Amino acid sequence: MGTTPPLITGSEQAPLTALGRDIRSNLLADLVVQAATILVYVFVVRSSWLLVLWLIRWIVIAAIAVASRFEGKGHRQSALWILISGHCWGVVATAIVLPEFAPVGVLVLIGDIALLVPHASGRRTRRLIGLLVGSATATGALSLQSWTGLADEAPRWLLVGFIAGHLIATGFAIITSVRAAEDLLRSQAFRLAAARSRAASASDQASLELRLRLDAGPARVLDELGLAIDDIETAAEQGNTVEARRLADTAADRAQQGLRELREISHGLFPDVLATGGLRPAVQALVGTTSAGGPSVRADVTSQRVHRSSENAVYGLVGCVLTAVQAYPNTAVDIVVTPAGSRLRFALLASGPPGAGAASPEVGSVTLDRVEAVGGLVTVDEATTPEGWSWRASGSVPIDIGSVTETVAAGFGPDDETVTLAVFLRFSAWFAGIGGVVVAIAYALTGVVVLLVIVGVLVVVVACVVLARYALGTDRPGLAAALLSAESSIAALSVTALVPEFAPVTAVISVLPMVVTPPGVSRRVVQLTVVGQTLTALCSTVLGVLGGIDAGFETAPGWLVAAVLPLATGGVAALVGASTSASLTRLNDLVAATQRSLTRLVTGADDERRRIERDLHDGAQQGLVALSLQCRAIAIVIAKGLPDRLAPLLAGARQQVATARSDLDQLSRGVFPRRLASGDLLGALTDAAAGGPVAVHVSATGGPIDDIHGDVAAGVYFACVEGMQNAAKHGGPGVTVTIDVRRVDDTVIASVVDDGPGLGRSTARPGRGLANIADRIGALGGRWTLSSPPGSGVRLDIAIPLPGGPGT
Amino acid sequence: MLVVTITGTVVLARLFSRSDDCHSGPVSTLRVLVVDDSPAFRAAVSSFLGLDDRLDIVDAVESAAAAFDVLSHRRVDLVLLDVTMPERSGTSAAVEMAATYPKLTIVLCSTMSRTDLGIPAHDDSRRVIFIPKDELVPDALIEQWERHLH
Repeated sequence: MGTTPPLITGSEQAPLTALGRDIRSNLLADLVVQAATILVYVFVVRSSWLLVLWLIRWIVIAAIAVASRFEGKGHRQSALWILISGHCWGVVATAIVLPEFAPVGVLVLIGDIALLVPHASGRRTRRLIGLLVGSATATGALSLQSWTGLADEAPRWLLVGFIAGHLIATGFAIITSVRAAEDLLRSQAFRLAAARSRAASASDQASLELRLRLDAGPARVLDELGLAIDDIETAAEQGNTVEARRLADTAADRAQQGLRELREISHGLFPDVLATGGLRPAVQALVGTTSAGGPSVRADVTSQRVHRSSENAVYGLVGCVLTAVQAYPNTAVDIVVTPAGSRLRFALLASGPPGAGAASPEVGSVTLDRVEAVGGLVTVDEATTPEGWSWRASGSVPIDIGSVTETVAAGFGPDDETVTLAVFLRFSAWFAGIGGVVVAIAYALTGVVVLLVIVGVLVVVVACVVLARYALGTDRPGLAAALLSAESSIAALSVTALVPEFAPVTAVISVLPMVVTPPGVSRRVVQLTVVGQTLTALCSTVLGVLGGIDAGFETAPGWLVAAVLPLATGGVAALVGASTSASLTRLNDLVAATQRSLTRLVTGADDERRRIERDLHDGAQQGLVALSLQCRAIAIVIAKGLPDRLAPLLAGARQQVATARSDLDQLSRGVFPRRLASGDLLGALTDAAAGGPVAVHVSATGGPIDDIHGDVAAGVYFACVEGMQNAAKHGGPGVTVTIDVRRVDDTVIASVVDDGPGLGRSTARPGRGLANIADRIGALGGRWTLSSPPGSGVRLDIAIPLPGGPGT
Repeated sequence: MLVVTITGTVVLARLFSRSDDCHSGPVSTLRVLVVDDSPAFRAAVSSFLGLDDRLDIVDAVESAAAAFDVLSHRRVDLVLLDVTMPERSGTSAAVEMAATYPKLTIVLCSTMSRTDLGIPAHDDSRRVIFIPKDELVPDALIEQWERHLH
C-alpha cells in the first residue's frame, strides 16, 4: 500500500530546476551573510563601512528576490537579467567602498558567466556576458583608487576576514554550480545514449523477429501452395476429380490462413489505419477490439494529424495500456489526447478496484524511449490505496519533429571529460604569452626591474602550460591538472608579492584550477588542487591587503597599472568564461546530437516499418488473396468438369506462387539477412557483396569471427553494407571493395576500403548513409572514421567494443 | 466558374441518363465492375467470379478514375472497390459513386482487416458494405445487391 514516486523521462525539466535552485540557494546564503554582518556591526565593530556594505547588499538581495518571483512565473530571461544586473550593481558599488574587494567581485561575475551558459542562448547570452565582462573590467579599474576612505576606518583584520570569507564562499559556489550544470548535462547525455542503444537494439531485434516470422509463416505457405498445385494437376490428370477438388479447397483455405498470418504481421509493423487516418481512428480501432467483454474504455482523441513518429509513440503507449487491462472487465481506462500549442498532450488513466487481479500496466522502457526519442516527455505514476489502484501516464509529444538530417556523430568519449581543461590551457598559453610580451615592452619603456621579474614568472607559466598540454595530449589529465595548479600558485603568489595592486586578478587566477580540473582524475589530485588553490587564494588576498613585499614597483608610472590591470581582469574573465562555456556547450551539443541521433533511429525505423508494411500489402498479401481465389476457381472448374479451363488456371496459380515468393524473398533479405540471423556475420557480408553492383572481397584476416553476434554483428554488418554502397556510389564502375573484419581483444575492428578515385571536395559532403553509420556505431559505443587520402580510395574504419569487455 | 459549370452539367447529364443506363428492370445476371490496383487480384477475382453464371464481369480496372469512366458508358449493377489505391482511395470514390449512382451497389474490399482500416463493425443498414478480399464469394455480392435493391 502506498504511492510510487513518478518516473519521469524527457528533456524539458533539467535546466528549469537548475536555475530555480541557483536563485534560491543564492538568496538563502545572502540572508545568512546579512544577519552575520549586522551582528558583527552591533556587537563587535561599529564601522560605518560595514553598514554601507550591508545596505548595498540589500539591493542585491532585492534583485534576487524579484528574479526568483519571475523565474517562478516562467519568465526565465527576465529573471536572469534582474539577477545579473543585481550582481553587477553590488560588485561595482562594493569595489567603490572597498577596493580590496575587487578580486571577490570579479570572481562573482565570472561565476555568473559560467552559470549563464546552460540557461540562455544566442544573442541574449552574448549581451549578458558583455554586461558581466564590462562590470568585471570596471571593478578592476575602480579598485585602483580608494574613492571613499570608508574602509580605512575599519580594522585591517576585518577587511582581510571579510574578503577571504567572501572569496572562498564565491569560489566554491562557482565550482558547485559549474559542476552541477556539467553533471546534469552529462547524466542527460548518458541517459539519451542508453535510450539510443536500446532503440537500436530493439529495432534490430524487431527486424530479426520479422524475418523469422515471414520465413515461418507466409514463405512456408507459398511453398506448400506450390506443391499443392502440382498435386491438384496430378489428381486431375488421373481423373480423380473428388481428390483434385478437395486439394484445391484445402489449398484455398491454406492461402486464406497464410493471408491472416501475414495481416497480423503487417498490423504489428505499422497499422495502416494509423498511417492513413491518424491517432483518432487508430485508437478507436484499438478500443473497439478491447471493449468487447473487456474493461470500459473512454477515448477522447484529437483528429489533428501530427508527425508519424509522434503518433506512433502515443499509439504505442495506448496499445501497451489496453493490452495490459484487456482481461479485466472491472477496469476503467480513460484516454485523452489533445493538441496544445506546438505539442500534443496525452493522459492515459487506468484504475480498478482493490484485489481485482489486474495489476497496473507495465510499460516497457522501449515504449517510453519512443516518446523521448521524438523529443517528448512522459510521467508515469501509480498508486495503490484501500479504494483501489490507479495508474497514470501523461506527457506530450511535439507536433512536428523538424529536421534531424545533420550527420554529427554523437558519442561520449574521454575527450568530453577534459574539454574544459584543454580549452583553458590553450587560452592560458596565449594569455600568458601576450602578457609576457606586453610586460617586456613596458620594461623596455620604463626600466623598472620588477617588470623583468614578472616576465620571468610569465615564462615559467608558459613553460608549465606547454608541459601540461603535452601531458593532456599523452592522456595524463591528472599530471596536466597538477602542473596547472603549480603554475597558477607560482604566478599568483609572486605577482601579488611584487605588485599588490594585482591581488584581485591573481586571487581569481589561483582558484581557476579547481573549476577546470577534469572529473576523471584521481581523488588525491582533486584534494591537492582544492586545498592548495584555496590556500593560494587566501595568501594572495592577504598579501594584497598587506601591501606585498617592497620590490620597488612604486617607481613605475601610474598609467602603467591603470592600463594593464583592467586588461588583465577582463582577460581572466574571458579565460574562465571561454573554458567553462566550451565545456558546457560541448555537453549541450552532445545532448542535442544524441537526441537527434535517437530521433533519427526511431523515425527511420518507423519509416522502414511503414515501407515494409506497404510492400507486404502490395506484394505477398495480394499474391495470397489472388491464390486463395484462384484455388477456389480451380475447385469450381474441376467440379463443373471444364478441363479446358483448368490448364490456364493452374498455370496462372503457379505463376502467382513464383511471383509472390520472389517478392517475399526480396523483401525478407532487406529486412534482416538470413545468415546474419543464424550468427554467420562473414557469410552475411559475402551474400550482401554478391548481390551488389561492384566487386567485393570479404575477409577475416584475424582468424574466425564466429563469436561476434547479436547487436554488434548487426552493427558491423549494416555499417559495412553502407560503406559498400557508398563505394559503389562514389567509386564509379570497376571499383573493387575490400572488407575485413577481425577481433582484437574485446573490440571488433572492421574496415571497408575501395580503390576508387576517392572523395573529391565536391562529393565529400556527408549523406544519409554516413548518418546511418554514425547512429548505429554510436548506439553500440563504437567509433568510426572515414578517410580519403589524396590519390587513393575511400577508407571506412569501424571499432566496436564487445559487450562485457572492459571498454563497456 | 467555367469548370464548375461544366462539372455541374456533367453531373446533371449523368443523373438524367442514369435511369436509362442502370437498373431499368430486373436483370438475369449481375453486372460487376472490379476496381483494384493489383493486377494479380484483378485477374484472380475476374476468373473466380466469372465462373458463377449469376455474375457478369463487365470490366476490371486499376483506378477510381477509370471506374468512373466505365460507369459513365456501361451498365453496371455492382462495383467491387479496393479500399487502398495509390491515386484515390476506394472509400473516397465510394462516397461520390453513392451520390452519383443511387441504384449502384457498392462493395468495398481489401486485403486488410476491418481493424487495420479502422472500419466499424458490419452494419446491414449501411449504404456501402465492406468485405475482406479473402472472404469474397458470389453469394455475398448477390445478397448485398438484393438487399440494396429492395
